[in-house]
Amino acid sequence: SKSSSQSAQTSQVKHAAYKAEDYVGSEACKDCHEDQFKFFSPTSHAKLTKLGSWKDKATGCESCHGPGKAHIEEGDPKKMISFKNKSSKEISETCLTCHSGREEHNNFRRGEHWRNDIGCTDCHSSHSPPRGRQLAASNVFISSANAQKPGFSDLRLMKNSEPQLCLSCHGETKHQFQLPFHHKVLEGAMKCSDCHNPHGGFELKQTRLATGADAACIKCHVDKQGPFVYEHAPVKTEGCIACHTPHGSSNPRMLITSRVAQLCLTCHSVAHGVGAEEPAGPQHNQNAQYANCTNCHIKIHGSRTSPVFFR
Amino acid sequence: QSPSPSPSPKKSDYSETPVETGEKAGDYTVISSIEFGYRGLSVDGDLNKYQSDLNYKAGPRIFDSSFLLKSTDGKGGLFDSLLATSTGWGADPQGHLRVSVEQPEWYRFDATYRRFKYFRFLNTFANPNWVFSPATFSVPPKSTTGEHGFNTRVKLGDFDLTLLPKNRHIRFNVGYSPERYSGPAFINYHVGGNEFIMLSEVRSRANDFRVGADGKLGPLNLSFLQGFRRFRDDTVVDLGVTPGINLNPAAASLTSFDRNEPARGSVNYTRFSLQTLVADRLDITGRIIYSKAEQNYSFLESFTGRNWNPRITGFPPSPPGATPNILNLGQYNLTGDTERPNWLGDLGLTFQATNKFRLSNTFRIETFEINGAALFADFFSVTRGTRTDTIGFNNRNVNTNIDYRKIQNTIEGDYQFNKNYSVHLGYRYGRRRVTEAISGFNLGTNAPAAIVPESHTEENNTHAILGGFKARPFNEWTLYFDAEHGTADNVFTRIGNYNYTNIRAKSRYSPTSRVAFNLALITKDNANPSEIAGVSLEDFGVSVKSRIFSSSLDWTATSRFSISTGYNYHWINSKSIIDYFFNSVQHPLGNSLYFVRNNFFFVESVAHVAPRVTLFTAYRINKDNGQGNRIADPTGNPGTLIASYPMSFQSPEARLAIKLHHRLDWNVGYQYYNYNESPIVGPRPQNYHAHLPYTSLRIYFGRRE
Repeated sequence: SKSSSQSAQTSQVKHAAYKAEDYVGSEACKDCHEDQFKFFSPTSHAKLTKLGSWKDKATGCESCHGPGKAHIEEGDPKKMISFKNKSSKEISETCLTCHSGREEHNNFRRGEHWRNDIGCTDCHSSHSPPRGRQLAASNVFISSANAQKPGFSDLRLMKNSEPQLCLSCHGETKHQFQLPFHHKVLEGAMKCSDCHNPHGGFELKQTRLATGADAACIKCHVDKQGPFVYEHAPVKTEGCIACHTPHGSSNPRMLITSRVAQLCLTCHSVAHGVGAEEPAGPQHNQNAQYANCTNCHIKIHGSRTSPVFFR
Repeated sequence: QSPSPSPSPKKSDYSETPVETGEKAGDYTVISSIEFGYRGLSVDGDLNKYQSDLNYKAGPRIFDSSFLLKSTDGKGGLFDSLLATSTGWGADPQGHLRVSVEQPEWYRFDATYRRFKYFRFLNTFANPNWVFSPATFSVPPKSTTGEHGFNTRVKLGDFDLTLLPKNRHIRFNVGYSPERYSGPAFINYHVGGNEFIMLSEVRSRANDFRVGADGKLGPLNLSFLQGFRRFRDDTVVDLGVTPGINLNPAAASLTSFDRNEPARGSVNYTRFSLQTLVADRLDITGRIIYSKAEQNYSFLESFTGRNWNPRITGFPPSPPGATPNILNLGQYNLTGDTERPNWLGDLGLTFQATNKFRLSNTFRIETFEINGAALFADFFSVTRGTRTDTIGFNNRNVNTNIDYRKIQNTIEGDYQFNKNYSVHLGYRYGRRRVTEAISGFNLGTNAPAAIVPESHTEENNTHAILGGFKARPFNEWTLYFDAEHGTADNVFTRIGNYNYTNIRAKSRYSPTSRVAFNLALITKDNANPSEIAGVSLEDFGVSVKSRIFSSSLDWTATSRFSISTGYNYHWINSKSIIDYFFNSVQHPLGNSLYFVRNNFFFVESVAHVAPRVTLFTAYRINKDNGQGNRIADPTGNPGTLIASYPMSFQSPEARLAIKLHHRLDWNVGYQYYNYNESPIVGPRPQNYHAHLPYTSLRIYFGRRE
């Protein structure tokens, strides 16, 4: 039949090909799909029927699953669009029918999750509430370990709250958030999506941009924004991660090495007259207090007044 | 980016979901909880390090709270849903409050307010003087005085209002984000032949306003945003002086110091995006951003002191810098302004050639320029014996410029064999040009001299291939693999592009909805090429290799017991050839080594030990063995410097939750932190043990069971 051959990704787009009388409304689905209806009805998807701008548009269950008349009359599951055997990309195309075109989702088709076949329904559930585990809340994992309390997953139809949802796949980052110096993600003060856009983006690591085209870090670390008369060029050209590990580190300042001098000298060792200038002479002895470069070059992210970042 | 194992929805998902209860409140349903209580604290060892790491205080505390109000029939009055969550208010160093209110037909309001208390009082970290040869250091380090210490706080907010949020045709949004940063902080100042630690009062603020709209015009989805950020920094140093780090009476010292450096900045930015889907097959997404950042400042610094070593030729009359002397007045006066216009354009195309094959192309062009200008004046009056000399310079200017241009294009294809197997393959090309220029005077001295205008340009091209696959051989087992190999930008960080190879492999095995076993291996190899244009670069090579192995098991054994455990090993070997001085001897081909050998293990379990009693237990440890037995040889030939941070940081935790009533839990818990670092990190043992017992009550309205 036409509906069964309909690919999921075009289900919404092709609705115009169906006759209006083929649609029966979500209430008709309730009799057999009670659980799904129960969870779906309080969602923002279900409420679209009440919004003026969605008048005469396919809404409710049939907006994704296609018109239900034939399915109800014949009882044939093939008369509905089912996502059971669809790939993550195909499922996502259905969602993108409505959700693309927003700045947040515009790049999903070129994002890292897409590339690795992670789709919308791997993180979101259109007709079930979050299924966070019934944990007693930890002193550290304060905010979201406990499914007994509501969270943003309730509003965004997410399967679990951040950061638990993200860490369930990106477990390799978990240890970094428990090192002595780390961004306060597990404590609840920050979310993964504060810095990353899980729906894709033009930036490396799908980071968000701060004001204009600045790096995400600048949003909070405003004093690094500049512009300065004397820029430390790598801050802008290479980015913060040239020197810092953003998730966490045992090194103070979350630097990528534990000794400042060795970090600086990695660049500031002139090779064949090319590259960053090297420290001159004995006053930069590694066995003096000057070995810690930022003891003197304190304005290392850029200075308004000192070409060598002294003030 | 990491490939991400994705648990597919299963039928059992529904059966495992908490039952949505909630309590009726007029036209709304309420689900809410608040936990408040008291936490104790006992710290043995280095309190400063404890505060730098954790900074939890004793006292009453709102552990967290969440409040959800949803209309029952989908037609609330003022709002349809309201959610407020918060954590960490009271005795915590960080706290947040997030609010989201929505009436879908008319508005949505999202607000976030965060507060962080920053504390830092550490060893001047990894000062090699302490590592290699303390006896040769002429000035004893102040082991009790951490440099760059601070005790500040930052408050951040994001307030966004979207009008007509669910409208199909148009949506408007306005936003405001304030930022406030304040508190005392130590700064270092290397001046006059000594190094001073001074107390400054940090005070900066920023306000970001934005307004925009999203809409649909025919087949086009359009988005526009205009933002205005205003920034000001009024940090001052006027709280007296401290002795220089070199306490030798013949060394320079300050008797007064005052610095004012008010700065004002702005960023105006415009973003325009467009997206459309042509013939159901071609996705076109474009974005263009223009921003212009500006900053202007004035700088006035005045100080008096003794034994000033101006380090300038010919001042005061030769011999320069002779001591003893009295610095009657030293003064710097600068003004300056800078600007950074920035263009960023992106274009993404995805063509769905067939239902299984897609071809994507992403193109970026970015340009920015940073133009800085400053005007300098100084004045010094120095008395030596009965003679007083003065010197001053005015109208010394400098102009700086950084010009950056980059284009990058990535083309990739992905093929979906079926729902279980897919592959992707791509190629990325980048071209970048960076120019730095300076002209005017060298403002790094007390007697600025004209510099020969110079301009330095670096230009490079990079190429990379990327590819990977997802395979689900069985419904229970999914594999993800992706890899990148090529060259990366590194204009200012070394003499040529990096060669890099990044590989990520992940496995997720979930035989039932109650068990998930994850494995991951991530490797990154970065190294300079051995030559560029026939010139050998081996003497200046860099090689950074990292390996991360990660494993975890999540098992819900029964309805009464679940456990999560995992092990992670992080390995880094970094080697660079560097040019350094040690004991005044130059080591032009010295080795710089850095090691990480971090083991992380965690286990967390939840046991419903009685119908009304839940016990949560956890143990987590990071243990980094660092460089192991390797010993630095800074005086050797060519010489070797070694860095690492061997330490262990462990935290067991237990928490008992007793359900007194369906509206009330009583919790009692204890968390312990144990931090130990190797003596090679620094001379001041920064080890500590912290005991954090707590008790709390959690009150529920509309509790989920």
